[in-house]
Amino acid sequence: MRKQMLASLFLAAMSAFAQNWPQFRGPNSGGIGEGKPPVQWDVEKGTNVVWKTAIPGLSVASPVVWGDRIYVVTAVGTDTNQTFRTGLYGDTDSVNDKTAHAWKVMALDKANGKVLWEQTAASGVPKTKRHPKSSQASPSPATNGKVVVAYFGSEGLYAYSTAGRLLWKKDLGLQNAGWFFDPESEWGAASSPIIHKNSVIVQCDRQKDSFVAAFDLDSGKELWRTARTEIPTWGTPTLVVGKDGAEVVTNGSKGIRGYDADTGKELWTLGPNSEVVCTTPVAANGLIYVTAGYPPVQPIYAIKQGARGDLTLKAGSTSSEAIAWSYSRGGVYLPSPIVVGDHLYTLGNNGILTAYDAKTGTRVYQQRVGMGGSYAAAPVAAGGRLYLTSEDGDVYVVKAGAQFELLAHNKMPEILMATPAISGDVLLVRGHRHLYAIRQQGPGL
Amino acid sequence: MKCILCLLVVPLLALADKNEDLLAAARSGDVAAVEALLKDGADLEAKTAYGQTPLFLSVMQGKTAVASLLLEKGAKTDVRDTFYKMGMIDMALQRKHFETVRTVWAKDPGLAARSLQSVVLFADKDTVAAALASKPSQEQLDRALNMALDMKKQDAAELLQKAGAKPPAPAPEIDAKILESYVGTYKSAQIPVEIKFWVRDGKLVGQVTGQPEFTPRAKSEKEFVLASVGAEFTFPATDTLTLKQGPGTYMFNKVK
Repeated sequence: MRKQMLASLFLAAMSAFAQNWPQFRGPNSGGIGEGKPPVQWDVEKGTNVVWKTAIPGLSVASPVVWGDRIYVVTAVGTDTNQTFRTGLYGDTDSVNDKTAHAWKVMALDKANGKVLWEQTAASGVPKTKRHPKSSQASPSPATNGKVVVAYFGSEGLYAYSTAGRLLWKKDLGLQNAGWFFDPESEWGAASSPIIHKNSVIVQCDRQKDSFVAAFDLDSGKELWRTARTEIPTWGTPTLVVGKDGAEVVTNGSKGIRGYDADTGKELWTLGPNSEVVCTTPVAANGLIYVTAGYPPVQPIYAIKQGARGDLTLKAGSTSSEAIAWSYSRGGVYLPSPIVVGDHLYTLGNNGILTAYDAKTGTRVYQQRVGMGGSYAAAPVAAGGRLYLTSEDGDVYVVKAGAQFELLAHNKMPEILMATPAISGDVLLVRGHRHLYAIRQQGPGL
Repeated sequence: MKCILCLLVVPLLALADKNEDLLAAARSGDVAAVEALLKDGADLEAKTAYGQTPLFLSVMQGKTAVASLLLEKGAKTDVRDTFYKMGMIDMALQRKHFETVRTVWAKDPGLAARSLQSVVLFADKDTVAAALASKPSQEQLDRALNMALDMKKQDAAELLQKAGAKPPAPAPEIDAKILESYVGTYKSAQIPVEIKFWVRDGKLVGQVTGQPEFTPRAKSEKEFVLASVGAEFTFPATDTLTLKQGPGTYMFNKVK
């Protein structure tokens, strides 16, 4: 009897854990949920839409989930018509949000979308401009179920209790992330914080004096800070835990780097890389996959976990003791890659989905998703399915595997820039005005 | 020995700071600061990590007053950055800083002629006319007209033809069977893209995965050109393709 009770407690805990989506791209930044969200839904008819909640302001941050709570961030300007400019374009202009803003952290009830609390972390006129595809609240929050951390770039780093009490805040200075070629083209910060043990780690790549740092979750005390010779980047660091300890892997223009997560010591570096870097690394199969897509250098690297030192390949080589395989072209620009089962998937801004054998790098297929359009959100996956979200409101569901198979095309009535979250069987899709909870209601695929 | 190194290193560091400041001042259009920094020994041709000089930055940002000052001081006009390999005029035209562009051309008319293709793509009629007043060579005129026709820039094409640009020779008639032999999907081991070709209305049409389709102009039975992106397609045999674009040459094989 006792064994059964322990087993059920264990399973309940595992199940609860499995429902958490604690940071950008979920557990271990992998983008994979444990449940089975539906393949099809219909927002107009309400089919499989459990609730939708209006979120004020503008943000490309993903929702995060712990237990029965969802946390979102947003930046609310006095101009309520603020929106994104979607599409495939290459001009570098910024949006100059000169009106007063309020940067907010909100907690919602996962069961019904009700707003449980809302805190204004900062207010004022934004210190930097933003990219037309970005927002003044782009980094996703992070939580460990006790503390919720929100990073608002130049407006600071904030930690709240799950009841909404401000624990501490930190000013990390001006985060003038923008075009390397013209600092006047400011695009705003987007790298999300991650939590490691009782610390929060942030990657601050800006025009000058870039760094990666860790702060104590309870007090905000700086635990370590490592300077980076980096220009602006927008990827989120990825925590990779191996037999040699935990390392923080950062995508960067001047070098992809791994740091000791406890001390900030640089462990390895790898180049070359794109001059504009937006994607987040992903670890699976004992490999760390890093990609970037700004031409002319658009690499995909599969780095062996545990590698140390300068991992740069010799000229003409695509692999080494440290690099399982690589490509110098084919890397993607905005959506971060994902590994599901035996395959690595990359999604281009233009909707081209490419599948690779994750272990060998052999390209398995390349297929346009849908009829065109532009993509900024990273793919997420659950139940053997990939969810691919276009800026124009399309969510394509593709079967994971060696052959492309489109399972469904769901149309949402809003711009979709944020990467979705998955909590159990619930898919949380953030449109530019609402957060939607999508779950199978009744029989389905 | 240490003291000598200090004497050398400290001034170099100070100069590096002045150069940084000059680049920043040029970018922001601060005439007074630019003047003061140059007087103080900052390098007129200081460069950013991407090879941009103070003149490049001022022109790129449309800061005409700073650009004029730097030109008076003798700043080099034929500057290309090291990343995009673009001239400052190209960048300024894209951003529609036409007044600044004409200011530079007044000092270096040859630059106007050399920028003619960018002018055709981005400039207003007055700026096209100003570029043509610099008397480009026949080759420059013809290349610019080719670009204007490809990009359907009718106004620019008319001005160019009035200036003496000759339209490209009519594309040769290619036998339908030869065109059909090129139809298929081509893959390269050098770059992870596929190019499909098919025939429509007697013309070869191509499409790179994920990009809009294009219709290259035939130069000969085996050679086709897409002037707007500087790409040349050659079919040495019916199941192989060579793509030349910029500094790269890529070999493709037909896979289906």
